[in-house]
Amino acid sequence: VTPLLRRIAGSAAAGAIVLLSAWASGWPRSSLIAEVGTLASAVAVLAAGAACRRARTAAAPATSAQPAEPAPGGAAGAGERIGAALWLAVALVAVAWDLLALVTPPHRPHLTLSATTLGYRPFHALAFACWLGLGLVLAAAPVRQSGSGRHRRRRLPA
Amino acid sequence: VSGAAGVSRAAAAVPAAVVGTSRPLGLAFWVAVVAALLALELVARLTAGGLPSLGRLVARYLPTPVLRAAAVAVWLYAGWHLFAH
Repeated sequence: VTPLLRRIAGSAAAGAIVLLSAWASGWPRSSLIAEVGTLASAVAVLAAGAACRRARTAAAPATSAQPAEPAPGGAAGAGERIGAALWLAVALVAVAWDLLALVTPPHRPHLTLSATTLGYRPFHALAFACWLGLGLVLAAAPVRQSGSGRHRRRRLPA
Repeated sequence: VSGAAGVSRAAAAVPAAVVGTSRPLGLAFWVAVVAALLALELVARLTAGGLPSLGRLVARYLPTPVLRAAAVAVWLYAGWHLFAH
């Protein structure tokens, strides 16, 4: 897979996600189209991510001089740990807010992610696109194959 | 009983006092969260090393097929809850 082809595929996937998210923001919650559409979008994204991972794995031996991804599950450096802490901090703030918004009294507006996606259609589209993007990342990131783990690598001579 | 009810009402008011009850405020918060996550990803992709991208984090902390399948299950449930049901 050439870099140009990868760039074209990435742009096409991003465009498809934007269009699909705009369409999905109009699906009424609990309707057949919302349920089938959400499930089909998830399956499509997971399949695309898995195909991307397979293509990257197949191309790895030819381009392994400068690997873009670290070995799955390998030891993290200090910079990477700080970066991971930043990601975690944003996620924890979001989870804390969602939980607090969930237990607000019934007569007050609930500012949960779910209620916000229901109340604002553009935000629904944005959240749907982010959800699809996260699924793509989950499916496309390299997986440690059985027998290629940290413990096995440690037994290899330096 | 009225004292207990008062305490209960006060406890129930705490979350609303923390996160507020204005819908535009909620929208602003969630847009800020999404913007922060997108900014982290963008910075990670534009700068080599240092800040890890989401894909790198997933590869690092969810390396096995079992962990990855569990993450996908949580992701599916979240999508179902937020967009379908």
